Amino acid sequence: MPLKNTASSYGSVSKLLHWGMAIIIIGLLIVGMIMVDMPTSPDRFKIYGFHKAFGILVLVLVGLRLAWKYYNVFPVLPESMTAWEKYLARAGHATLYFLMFAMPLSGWAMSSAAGLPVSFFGLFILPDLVAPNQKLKADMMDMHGVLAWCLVGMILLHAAAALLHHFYYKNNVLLRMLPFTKKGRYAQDSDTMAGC
Amino acid sequence: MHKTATLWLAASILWVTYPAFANVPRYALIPQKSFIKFFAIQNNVPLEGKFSDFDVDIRFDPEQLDQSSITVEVRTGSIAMFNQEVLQNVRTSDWLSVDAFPKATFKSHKITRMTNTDNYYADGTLTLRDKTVPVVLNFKMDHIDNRTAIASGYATLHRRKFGVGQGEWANDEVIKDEVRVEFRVAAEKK
Repeated sequence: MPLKNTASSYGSVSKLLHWGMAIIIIGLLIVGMIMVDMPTSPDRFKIYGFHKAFGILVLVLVGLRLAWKYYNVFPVLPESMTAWEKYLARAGHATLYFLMFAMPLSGWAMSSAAGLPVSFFGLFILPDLVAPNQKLKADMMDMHGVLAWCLVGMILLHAAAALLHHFYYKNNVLLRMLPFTKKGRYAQDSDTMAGC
Repeated sequence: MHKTATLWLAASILWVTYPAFANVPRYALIPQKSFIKFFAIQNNVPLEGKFSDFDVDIRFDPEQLDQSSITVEVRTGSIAMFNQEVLQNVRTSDWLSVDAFPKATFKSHKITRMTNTDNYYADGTLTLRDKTVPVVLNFKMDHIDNRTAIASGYATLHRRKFGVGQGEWANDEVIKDEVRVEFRVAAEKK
C-alpha cells in the first residue's frame, strides 16, 4: 500500500490517521460523557487528565491530517453521485474537520478558564488560552457539550453514508478507506465507476 | 570566696544578656503587603491557592538570631483557590478540615543565617490538622531598616505527613505529596 493517496484510494498515512483518530475520538466522547457525572475522586481527576491530554493529541493529529490532505491528491468521489450529493459529502467532511478542531480548542479554553492548566501526558504544560474566568468556563463547558453531541451526530451520519455507499450504491467509497484491503480490488472498482 | 565569684559571674551574664534580649525587635504583620500562597501538583500541573487571613509574631535581629523567633498562625478557612470544585473539596474533612482545625501554626526553634548572604532558614514545627511535623522555612531578608522588615521565602511540605488527603486521596499519583508554600511577609516594629 503506498504511503500517499492516489486518485482512486487513500494511502497508509491517511488510513492510519483516519482510524487512529476514530478510535481516540470515540473513546474521548464515551469517557467524556461518563466522567462529567462522576463524583469528585482521585479517579475522576486522573480521567480528566487523560481526557485533556488525548484531546490535545487529537488537535495535533488533525493539524497533521489537514496538512497531509493538502500535500496529497484527494481520491475523487464516484461519478455516479449527483452534484448535490457531492456537495453534501464535502460539507459533511468540512463539518467533521471543524469539530475535530473545535472540540479540543473549546476543551483547552475551558480548562484555562477553570484555572486548571492542561498537561500533555506529564511531558509539558500547555499555555493557558484564556485567563481564569468563571463565566467563560461555564460558557465553554456548554459549548464543549453541545459540540460533543454535534460530533456524535456527524460521526453517525458519516458511518451511515459510508455504509450506504457500500451496500446500496455498491461503490468503493468505504473500501478505499478500510485498512488491509488489496490495491487491485478498489483500483478495479474505481475504474468501473469511472465508466458509469 | 568561690561562691562570690560564681555570683559575680552570673550577675555579669545577666547584665550582658538581659538588655540584648530585650532589644531584639518585635514585629507586627502588615497584612496588605504580605501573602501566603501554595502550589499543589494535580495531574502534573501546579494548582495555586492562597490564605488571606494569617498573623505573625516575629522577634528578629540578624545579630541575635539565638534570641529571634518566628510564629505564624494561619486561619485555614481563609483558603482561596480559583477552581471552586477543588476549593470545596480542599475545605472538607478529607483535606484541611477547616471547621475541625481552624488554625495552622508554625513555630521556629532555631534560625540560621547562611554565611555571607541575606538568606536564612528557620527550623521549626508546623501544626496542621492534628499533626505537628518539623518544617524548614527558607527566607531572604529583602529589606530591613529601623522600622520595617520584609522577608520572602518558601517551604516544602509533605501533605500526607499532616493527614492532608485522607482515604483514597492519600495516594499521591494524582495529587502529589509535596506542596510548595511561598510567602512574603512585611512587618513593622511594634
